[in-house]
Amino acid sequence: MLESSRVVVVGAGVAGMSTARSLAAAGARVTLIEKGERLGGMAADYACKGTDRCNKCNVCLVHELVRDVKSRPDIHVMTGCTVDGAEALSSGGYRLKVGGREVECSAVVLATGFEPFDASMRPELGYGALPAVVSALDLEKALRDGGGIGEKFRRPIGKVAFVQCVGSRDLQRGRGYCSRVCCMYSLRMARAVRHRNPSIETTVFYMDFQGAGKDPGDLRRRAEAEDGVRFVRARPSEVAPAPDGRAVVWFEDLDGGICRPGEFDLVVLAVGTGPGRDTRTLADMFGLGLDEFGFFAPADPGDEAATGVPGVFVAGTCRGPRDIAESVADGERAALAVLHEQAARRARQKIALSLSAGTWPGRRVLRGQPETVEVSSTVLVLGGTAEGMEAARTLSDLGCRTVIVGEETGSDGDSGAAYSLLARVDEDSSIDVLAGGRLVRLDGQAGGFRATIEGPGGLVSEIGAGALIVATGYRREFPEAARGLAGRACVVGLSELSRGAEMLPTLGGVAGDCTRGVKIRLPGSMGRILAKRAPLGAPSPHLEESGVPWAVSEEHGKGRGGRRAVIWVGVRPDTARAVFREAISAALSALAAGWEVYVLCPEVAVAGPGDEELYLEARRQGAVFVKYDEEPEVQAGSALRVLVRDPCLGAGGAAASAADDVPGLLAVDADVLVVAEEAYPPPDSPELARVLQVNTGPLGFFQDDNVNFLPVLTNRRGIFAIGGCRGATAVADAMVDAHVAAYLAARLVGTGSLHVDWATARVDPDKCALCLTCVRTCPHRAVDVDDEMRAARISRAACWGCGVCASECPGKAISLESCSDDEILASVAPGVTAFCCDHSALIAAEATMAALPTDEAAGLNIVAVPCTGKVDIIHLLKAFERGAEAVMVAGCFDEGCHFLSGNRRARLRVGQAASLLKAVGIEPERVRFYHIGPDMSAAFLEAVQETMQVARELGPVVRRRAG
Amino acid sequence: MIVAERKSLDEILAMLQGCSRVLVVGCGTCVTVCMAGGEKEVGVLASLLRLAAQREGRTVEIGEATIERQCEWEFVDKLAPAIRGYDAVLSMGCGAGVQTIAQRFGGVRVLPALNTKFIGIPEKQGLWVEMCLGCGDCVLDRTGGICPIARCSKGLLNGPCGGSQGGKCEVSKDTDCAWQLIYDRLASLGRLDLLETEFAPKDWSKNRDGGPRKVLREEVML
Amino acid sequence: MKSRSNLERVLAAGHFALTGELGPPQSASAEVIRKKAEYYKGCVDAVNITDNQTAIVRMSSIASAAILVGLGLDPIMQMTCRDRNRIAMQSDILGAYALGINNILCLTGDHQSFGNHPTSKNVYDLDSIQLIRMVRTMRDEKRFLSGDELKAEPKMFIGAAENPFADPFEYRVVRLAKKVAAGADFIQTQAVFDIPRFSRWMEMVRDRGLHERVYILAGVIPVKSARALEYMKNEVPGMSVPDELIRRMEAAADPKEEGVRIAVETIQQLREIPGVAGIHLMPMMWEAIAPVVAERAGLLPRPAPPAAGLAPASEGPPAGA
Repeated sequence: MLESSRVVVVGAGVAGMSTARSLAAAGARVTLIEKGERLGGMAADYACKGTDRCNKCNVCLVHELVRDVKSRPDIHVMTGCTVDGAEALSSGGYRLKVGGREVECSAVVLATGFEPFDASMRPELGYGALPAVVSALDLEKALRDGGGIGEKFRRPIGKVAFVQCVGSRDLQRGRGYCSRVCCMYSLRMARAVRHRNPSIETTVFYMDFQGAGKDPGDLRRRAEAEDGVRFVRARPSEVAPAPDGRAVVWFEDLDGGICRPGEFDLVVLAVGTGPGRDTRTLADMFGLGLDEFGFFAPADPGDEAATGVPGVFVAGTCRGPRDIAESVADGERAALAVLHEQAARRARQKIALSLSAGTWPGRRVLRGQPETVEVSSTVLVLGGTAEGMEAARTLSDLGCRTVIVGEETGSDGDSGAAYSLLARVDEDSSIDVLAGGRLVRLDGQAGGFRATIEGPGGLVSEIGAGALIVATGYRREFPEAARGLAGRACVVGLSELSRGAEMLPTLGGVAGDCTRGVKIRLPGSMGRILAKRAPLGAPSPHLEESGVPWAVSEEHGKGRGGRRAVIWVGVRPDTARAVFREAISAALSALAAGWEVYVLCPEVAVAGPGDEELYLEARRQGAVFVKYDEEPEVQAGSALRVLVRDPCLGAGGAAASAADDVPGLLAVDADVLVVAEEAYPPPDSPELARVLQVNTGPLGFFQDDNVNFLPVLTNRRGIFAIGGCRGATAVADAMVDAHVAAYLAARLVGTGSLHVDWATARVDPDKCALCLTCVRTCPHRAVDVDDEMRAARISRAACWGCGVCASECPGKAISLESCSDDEILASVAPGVTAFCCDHSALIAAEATMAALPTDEAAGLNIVAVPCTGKVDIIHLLKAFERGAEAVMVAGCFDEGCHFLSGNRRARLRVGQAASLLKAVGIEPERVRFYHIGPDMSAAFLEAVQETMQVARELGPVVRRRAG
Repeated sequence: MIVAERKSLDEILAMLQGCSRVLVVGCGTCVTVCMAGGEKEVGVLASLLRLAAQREGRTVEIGEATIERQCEWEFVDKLAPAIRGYDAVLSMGCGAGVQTIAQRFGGVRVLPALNTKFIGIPEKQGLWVEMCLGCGDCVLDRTGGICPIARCSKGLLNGPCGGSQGGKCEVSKDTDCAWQLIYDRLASLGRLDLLETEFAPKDWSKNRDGGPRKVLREEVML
Repeated sequence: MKSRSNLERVLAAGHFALTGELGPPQSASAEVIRKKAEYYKGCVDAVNITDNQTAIVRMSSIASAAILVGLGLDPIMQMTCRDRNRIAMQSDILGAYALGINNILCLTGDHQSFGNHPTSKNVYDLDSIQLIRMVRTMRDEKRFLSGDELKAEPKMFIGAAENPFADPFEYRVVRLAKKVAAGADFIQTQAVFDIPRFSRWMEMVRDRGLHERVYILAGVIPVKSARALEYMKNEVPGMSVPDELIRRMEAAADPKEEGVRIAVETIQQLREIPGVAGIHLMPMMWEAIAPVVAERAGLLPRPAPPAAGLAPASEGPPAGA
């Protein structure tokens, strides 16, 4: 078993901590080696960018990780050390030299992180030379420290510029890749700066908006509309000095093509991410390969965790740019890969897991006797998508029986990859497939779900499952602007084209052998799953090759100008990230077949690994990219003509001519128009969400838009959402989802029993009036009705322990273990009482208390709660009864609550308390609510001092008797 | 269930003028379920009464008790030891509860903390809607299971008045026209014929009948 | 003839009828009634007297109607179900008839929350259809609602209102049929601005043959301004006002003149619709315009009242002062 084998994780940044936490939760002993003196890596310096509402910057996840890692006795942390040497052992492990000591281990996970681009390498931007020019990391630290940024940079600041792609997409400096994170962090920083200093104007100079997250388009719209953040598409060429320490940003005006200056008080360079300094040394030490940019490269593109060297794994940004949530997921994936190899080394087929449910957002340790609950180790996978099949296959490795319920959607095609997956699923005896089934009802809770499945003939069967993985994929449909074109001759959807064969007749009558093509991997839904053991039809040659039928037949003209294709990628930013590669691949194969190619898009989305190279290749080969501001107009008469205004002008080829009068308007006569489809949730998603009682988020996809749930958690324990069903996803990302969800599901139920060692809420059946308040308010749907007891029943396995039910129960029938009302009220005393969320304000408070003068600290009573949703109206009132002069409740930002809505409920309670106090003649401003991120110790201190000021000014609640 | 709502604190404080020892009594049935007078609301109100007194520099003794149902003699009896020594009982039960306590304990002032509103349902968490008027002569068999007496603002029996528009009542855009609901439901049931027949004037004697209405069932009497 | 009503006589003779609406004052002044009545003299066949319309307290419709009787006009007493129970209603109907009032318009009544006593308790002991049935029973069967015998019956010409612009649209004709079955002799509709919708409604009325069983008078409101139209569109429940009409009023140099023009055009269009037996003018406190509209719509002169005048019921005392 793993108990005897230690795993060393190198680097205590996000991915390293995630790997360590995940391995420890699975029963491994872990040594975490960190070069620096503290945990958290680069991300420990980042600032929460909440603006009342959570902006999904994920920084709070870092603090959560740090605390989790520190609290685990099974993770041995060594700071201030590096790996100075490694010796392979015959057992397959390594003996490492770490800071003069020797550590033996069965596996090494390298999570050594990235190195930010040194902006002084681009001297023309003035970094280091001009006082007004700073890097994004400098601004992160300034925001982190709180206060005005003007004070921090010691200058009056009225205008701030963000300059994107500094050290990214920069071939001259050998950095021909997109750093994937800068657009979003700049956008969030611009919002945060505006929020904290509303008088500051912010401008973002960018090339292409690389959106990430649930609905980046919406975030950008709100930044522009609500916060007045200005976006200018330009790559500044120079930053020059200006009077009073200001700086002039010179940028090319797209309309006139001339260089124009803009004066700013602060110019923030959005530096990209590069390979870490240790990467080369470690690569040599372990014999690993690096990619052309210096990141660790996977030996097999299909298995990104494997390095090709046994016992050595890589995770996180050391293998390429990724954001915090992606790094957390990558850590989980790496941990799984370690376990997988170790099982294989012991000639076991299945990975042995120890008895542990692992960690969950918001988990509060139970004081008292843990309970072991018997669970079903079967996992139900909904959806016969590639990610669903991959999850099933992974679960099989983890020793879980899986049932795939696949509805025949027929909406998407199959690819060679999907067929090979299908074959593996078909061979696996621990995977059952219910083809054409549909989930119509779900009873029970995590560990003991009972799913009612309706089969094709109306046949109904019930399946018991410990966990569910939703993998229903997404639907692709022409975007709004192109919807009228669907079904027209010579107009074809990108996914249909990628799918191949049946599209041949519509391609302007061009038919022929498909001999060439680029391998295209379909994202998201791979369509229907075939019935188990039904004969698999031999895939057609087209599908096997995943080729795109661009071939030109003999009688038609050859070479440029012979045939012309327009590829229109007019999709939302979230979809663009998933499909742009597919579009470029289509362009490349068309070019290879001698076609002339125009790609029309609002943005070039190249955040995926290798995407920028592919894009540049397409341009080199002559593809014309038109980045438009206004939707193109398609005139589809007997011939196809696409009208589009190119803000850059002059990009016209022989076929494209500037139309009369309108500057930059191109008219492209096309033989084929390829339309990239937008991603939408499948039509039955709302119904499935209702049956599952899971929440949907932006655009109707599964999963709340809340960073604590990334990558695959839903509001219900034991139900995971992966791949396309939770948003447009590229194949590689969908596969990571599949692995992480399978791993989490197996950790939850894989051993057949669940060790509940976290605090949960309990119902006193005698006091329960069955009012159903808890059933309705539980964010995790962990409560149902016990018909025999005639009382509400909270599933211990499913309860997250937030306490929202306890604070809402009108009969006071519910209490939360480890945080009872008595315990809470015992901490209330005269002075100021601060109810602090365990996950945000409490972390900030810990750092703050040291800064507070002793006399002030004496008057402050901090009451820790698992979630501000646990703060009951009675707690607030009783605090005053017991002599509190002012009460503050400090919790997470909106949409950032670990329990989804506890903070919103707390804010309602505070409002209710204020109006009740007012009604009895007590000043309502004595009770206050604050949003405090875990890193916002400065903001917490401000909030405490503000509340203390209120207390001082208003004095005690009790008014002395007159006379 | 019976739905109630707490009276304003001003009103409650005014009726408690001169009382320094008050027992706040909750009810564990309807008003717990409608979140108006269960143990939690008792705690909130008691706390507020103490704070109000503290604020004014008065000393008060506010007791808290919640019984299963205030409208049953046996449960109300359980208050007997607790009630001793109090100037007043502030009942957080419905009107029936207040009166039952008052009838059982002659020597103490029994005051209502709630306004009893209606028989209704929680349409969603935090929103309760009236469904039944207790008219004593149910017509739901002829109106598709939707009560025009309780849910039409005029209690009409022969279809919607001229103020029904876009499915909403003339009184408020937030109120559905009950007759539109009835029409839609009967249409979906294929029973629009029920709307062609004329409803005779209602026998309101079953609704209000000279003093409290009674239900008598001899076969279950002791 | 069911009654001594002039309106009934005009309709029965096959004339295209014209009625007008008069709102009693929010005071005890009979003078106001007399002044307003002047506008209607010789210009309409009968005058509706509203019953505390929009739940604002005004002089009672029964008293106001009695004043009109004294002036030789034929009043239509409106009666809502909002303020009286079946006892008070029957009592008032008997009294009204005794005062020489020969027409009654049976209404549900606007909800009290619209008026100046929103804290009052409404009655709605009966609804409008039950009220119609009750008056018919009193008149034709000489019985009270209780079934008790009624010696001298009130010979009222019974009217009802219908709103073709309220919802559910398909149900409005069913409800009309119920009113006809209950005993309505004539119908006055909500004001028509939306002629296409009214025509569709009339089509449904004709499909059921209702136009042959009841006289239908279409409501017309002459408006003074675009704002008034907009108010009706947005604030008055159960009104349908096409936007182009509002635009037309907005564009008009002389809105009052344009209002009259629209009213006249509307009347002419309504007259073309088979089954429309007359027009009910609702000038909304602009009674002075009634003769102008009637004149320009070609509805004057009105058929002369019977030589004997509108004699009060022989059983009743002489009306007027």
